[in-house]
Amino acid sequence: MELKDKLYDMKAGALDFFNQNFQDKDGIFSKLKISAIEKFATLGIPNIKQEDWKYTNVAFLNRLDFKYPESKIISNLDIDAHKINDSNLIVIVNGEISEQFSDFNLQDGIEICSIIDTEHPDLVGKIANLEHHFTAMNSALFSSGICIKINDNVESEKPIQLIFVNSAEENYIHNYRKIISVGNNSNVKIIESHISVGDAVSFNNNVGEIYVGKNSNFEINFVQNHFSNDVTIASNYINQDRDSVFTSLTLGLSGKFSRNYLGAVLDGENCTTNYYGIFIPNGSELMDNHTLVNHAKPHCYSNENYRGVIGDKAIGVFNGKIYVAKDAQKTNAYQSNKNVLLSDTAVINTKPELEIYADDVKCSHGATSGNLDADSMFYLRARGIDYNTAQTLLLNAFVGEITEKISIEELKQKVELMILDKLSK
Amino acid sequence: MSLLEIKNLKANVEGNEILHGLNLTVNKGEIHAIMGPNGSGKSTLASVLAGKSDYEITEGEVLFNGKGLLDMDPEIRAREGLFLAFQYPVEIPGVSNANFIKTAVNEIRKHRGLEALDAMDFLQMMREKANLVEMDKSFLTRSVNEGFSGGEKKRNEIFQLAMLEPQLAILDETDSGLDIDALRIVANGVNKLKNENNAFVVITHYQRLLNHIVPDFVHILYNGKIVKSGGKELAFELEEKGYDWIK
Repeated sequence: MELKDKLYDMKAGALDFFNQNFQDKDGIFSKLKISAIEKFATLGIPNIKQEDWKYTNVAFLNRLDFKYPESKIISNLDIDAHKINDSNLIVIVNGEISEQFSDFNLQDGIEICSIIDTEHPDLVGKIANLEHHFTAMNSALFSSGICIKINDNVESEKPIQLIFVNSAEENYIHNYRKIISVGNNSNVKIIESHISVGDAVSFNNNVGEIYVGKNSNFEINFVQNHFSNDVTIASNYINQDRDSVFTSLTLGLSGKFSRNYLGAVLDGENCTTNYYGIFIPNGSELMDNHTLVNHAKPHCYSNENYRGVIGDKAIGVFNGKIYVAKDAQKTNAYQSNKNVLLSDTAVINTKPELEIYADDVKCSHGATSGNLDADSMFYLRARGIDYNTAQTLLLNAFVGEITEKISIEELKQKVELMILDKLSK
Repeated sequence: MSLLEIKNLKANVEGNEILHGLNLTVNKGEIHAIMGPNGSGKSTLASVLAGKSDYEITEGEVLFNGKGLLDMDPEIRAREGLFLAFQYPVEIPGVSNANFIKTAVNEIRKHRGLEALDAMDFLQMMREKANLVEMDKSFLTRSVNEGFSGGEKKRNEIFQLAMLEPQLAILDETDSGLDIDALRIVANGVNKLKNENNAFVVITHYQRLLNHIVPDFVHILYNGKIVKSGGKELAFELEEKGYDWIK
């Protein structure tokens, strides 16, 4: 039986569970879920004949059996390697905010609650695209997650760190939902990390909806340091109001399979959107970054820069779509994806997609893939530096152009160590 | 025992033989100049000695302190005390000069059974050696050779030479593209580093550099072989008569 049928079978159960456990003011969630269930039943799991999934085969999901996690409590948890000390730390264990491990003292104007307690259910499902297979699945099945509400004129003192912890005693499926709503004239930074405990397969199907208000500056850092068994599909939808800045950093460090979708609608004039990313799969890992920058209004600027280092038999995928609407004149959109392949069996599929309907725009894109520069390697070795160290130095420099964008110094240092650790394997 | 002994060295690149049986012996405390016209095999010799992989050695042997040099990886050659000052130093964005040189110094120290230098000693040493080639301290924090002028790159090579304290330094056309001030700085650096325990092989097209770094021996390389050897006066003769004279 295919995953979609299995999940469709769970429909009644999922809805009952939801209705019994959660308050659903105005029935907004139920309505979303019913339409998502129908949608997912039609869409099912994508296959490689579909353009967006051409290089990323998820057929294996049909062969796995997943359960919903039951126990929400973990007694031992070591998050020191991931924790940013100078932050408001929210630890979410199997979807529930853990009071035991969290450590936060929020300033006025910032509220954080479980998604099911949100006072803004209208923000759920508003910008997420149900035509996306896994977004439909998440919308049908989510029963946990987080809602972060930031009022107008909030100058955040510390970054907020969300650490999602999956316990995987058995093959669990997690459908987290995340809402981040930033008011006007506010300035906030978020770090989102995912970790797993246990040896089974954790299938994370996360959907986030992020609203950035007028003249606000919002930054989110996705740190994907998953266990080697983990399957992650993370879809984040962003809506930017005028004069806002949205910056994301997606750091694909490890995990068996990950697909990140990032889609921003620049829905007001004078927006800035920065997408930065690093993906360094090795072994048989697959890391896929699909991005969309939708220039819906004029006078906006977007800059996208992803770097991949692919080793062994790993696969990297980058697909960057830039859409410029007819009225979005004076758009500046830049995109770059550079990759280094470390072995003959490593694979990169990189594809820019530009769809431009305005006639007064500046757009550029570029993609490269190749081996490390032989002359540079020889130069370093000729100074007594061994092959592996030389390679690590060069790769570190190659991704350094992205890590230097990390504005949270403590995170930057941690990430640099994590990258070094991965690259020297 | 000689520091370097090259015996009947033959080397190919992409199937073409460039070195046709080259012999050269270098002892400690000596400066050798190798001169020759374009395409004579000067840079091939330098690259083969440093261990660049684009060359195939078809015959001959090279002994460095009595050990077979050609079987060593490039990094081992460097740790054993061989240094090549590149004709075209590579720019490496994102790797700072200081980090690069520190890694190199400590790898070489480890090979020689010495402890890694601590940060203070290292800084002290870098300052000292940077002064030797009149290099501004800001060069140390910049990426390796990135955006350096031709002269700055060559000074950086000599700075690295000073830091790594090799037994044998091969300077591959270090004078090419240098103005007279940069040439003087580079040559002064080399002269200060020279002692009875090390040796230099200076590869050059022109006699000009040899006014500043005075060689004990001059060899003329032509068509992949050393066709004439002599004292420093040979360089003057060559400058006067041109390379046609030896053909």
